[in-house]
Amino acid sequence: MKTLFKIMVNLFVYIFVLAGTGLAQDSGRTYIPIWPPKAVYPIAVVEFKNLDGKPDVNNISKQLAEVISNDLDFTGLFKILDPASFLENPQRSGITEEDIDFQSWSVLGAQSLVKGGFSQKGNQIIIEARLFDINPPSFRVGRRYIGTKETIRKIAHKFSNQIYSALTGEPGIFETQVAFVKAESKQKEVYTMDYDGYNEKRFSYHGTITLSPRWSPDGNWIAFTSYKGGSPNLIIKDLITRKEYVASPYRQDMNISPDWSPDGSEIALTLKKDGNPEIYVMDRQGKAVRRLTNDRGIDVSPSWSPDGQKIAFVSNRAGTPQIYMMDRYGGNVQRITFEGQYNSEPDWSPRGDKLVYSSQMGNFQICTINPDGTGNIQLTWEGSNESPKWSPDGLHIVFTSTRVGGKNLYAMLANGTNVKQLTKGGTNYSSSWSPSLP
Amino acid sequence: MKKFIFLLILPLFLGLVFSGCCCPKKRAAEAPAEIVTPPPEVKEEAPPPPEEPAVSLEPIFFDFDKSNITPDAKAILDKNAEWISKNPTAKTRIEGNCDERGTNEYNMALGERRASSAKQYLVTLGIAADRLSTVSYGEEKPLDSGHDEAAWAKNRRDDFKVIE
Repeated sequence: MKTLFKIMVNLFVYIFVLAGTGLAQDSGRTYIPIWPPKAVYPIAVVEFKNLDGKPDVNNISKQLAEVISNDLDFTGLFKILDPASFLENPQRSGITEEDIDFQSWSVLGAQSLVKGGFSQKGNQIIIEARLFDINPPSFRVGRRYIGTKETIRKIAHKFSNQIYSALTGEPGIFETQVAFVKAESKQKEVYTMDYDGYNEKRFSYHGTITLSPRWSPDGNWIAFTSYKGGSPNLIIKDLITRKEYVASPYRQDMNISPDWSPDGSEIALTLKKDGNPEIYVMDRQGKAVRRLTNDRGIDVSPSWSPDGQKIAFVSNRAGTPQIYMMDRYGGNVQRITFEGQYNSEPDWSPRGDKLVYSSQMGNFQICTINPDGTGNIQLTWEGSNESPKWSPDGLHIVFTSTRVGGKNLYAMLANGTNVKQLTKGGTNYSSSWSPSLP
Repeated sequence: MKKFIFLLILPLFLGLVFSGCCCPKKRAAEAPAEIVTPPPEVKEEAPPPPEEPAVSLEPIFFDFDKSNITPDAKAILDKNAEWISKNPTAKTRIEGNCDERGTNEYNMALGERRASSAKQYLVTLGIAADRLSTVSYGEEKPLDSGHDEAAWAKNRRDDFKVIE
């Protein structure tokens, strides 16, 4: 009977775990498994066809194909075929299932094909984008977008999300954003940019030092620390209306390292109102403050688990900064890092299975560890690397690195591969990845 | 016997799991056009940066990841306490700072401990606590922007700014 039980367990594991990792089927098709990432699925992304022949002064044709290729490449799942190898002229060939010569794509080894066209009407750009399978030839997804030259990249990201979810069964992150701090002379302000480093925009106007931007789980607000007013206060600012308010419970005191609870109703942060830096939880108005930690050392950088039940944090209670875990009321404190003299700034994966943190090994390096303290893995090796934060799908990590001089933001897959530089030049750090924005 | 039961159960499970998802979907017609607009622009301006106080007392320095007052620092604090006692209307802001190593948030907390250590020592020397305030700038206000021990040593400090 024991064997039978084992078989049933195995069957369940097979069905639910493998289904979860992408071997599930839809419409009779096999999805690309998303983890571990292997850049093997061959896909051709063709420059878009100029349907009405008006001059393409904004380079729409190439821009759409480049952004989509770049998005797909970011995932580490695709082999993007070299456009120089394509056998047809994209401006003369068809963009519908009936008109495409699938044989010429099959010869190149493509499994899927991205094609589309655009036309222009005054400032308006009308874009049609389609995804096809090559073997057997079939239409997978098609979308029509109406935009302007300012939204070409956004439209490309939108269609990349369609491609990604059609081929993997999972939502894409191509419309997400990253908030960070940019230093210019002595001022440090919060900025936002698209996840791929484009479309950088200033977000705070405080004329002083700001730090630790954190997106609210609904994506509508960013909480950050600001020295406007003299001492470090917690500011919460609306992304659309740009209205902001001071959410600090103690305005003339220290209010630092905020982290939103997964439901967005509460914020964990560090205050020193009781004498030394301790972790507290409060509502988003800075009211209903409750204390979580109580020791003589520093307690800072709280990070909620995705189920809201636990909080990871940094404490030097045992002499050096190490990562600890407690429940949401401050009980059941457990230390989880033991290797090295300085482990800090934990961020809990949205998938719940890992924490990412930085560890001093001469320079600082990014590592991941299981919530029970086992299985730590070093992911970076070059320069000094800090401030790691997960993407909303838990597959990527954004971080700060000095690897090519200066301080810049980079993104990598959660296994340390496929590193992309997001900011180029200047001093950029303290990043936070948005949730999946609507 | 066990194999037999397994064979009986297997199709049942597979049927359950795949029944919901493997019927061929009707090919969707292309969705209606989605209109994509950029977010609205809101004009905002930053205030001028805050003015730095004119009078500063001598700074004290710390070891890496430490907030305890060293013997050298005590000698300087004794002198600073003397100045503060002789200027009874002056209020002093103690600003804790860190070197660039370590994480920005932890350093913010560490800078606070450094400022608090100096405040506690000055209070033991008889300065009224309400004449002393503390603030930490973490690693955000380095004196020396270099990346070596000489620069780091200068940046692990408390500044003493006379604010009134």
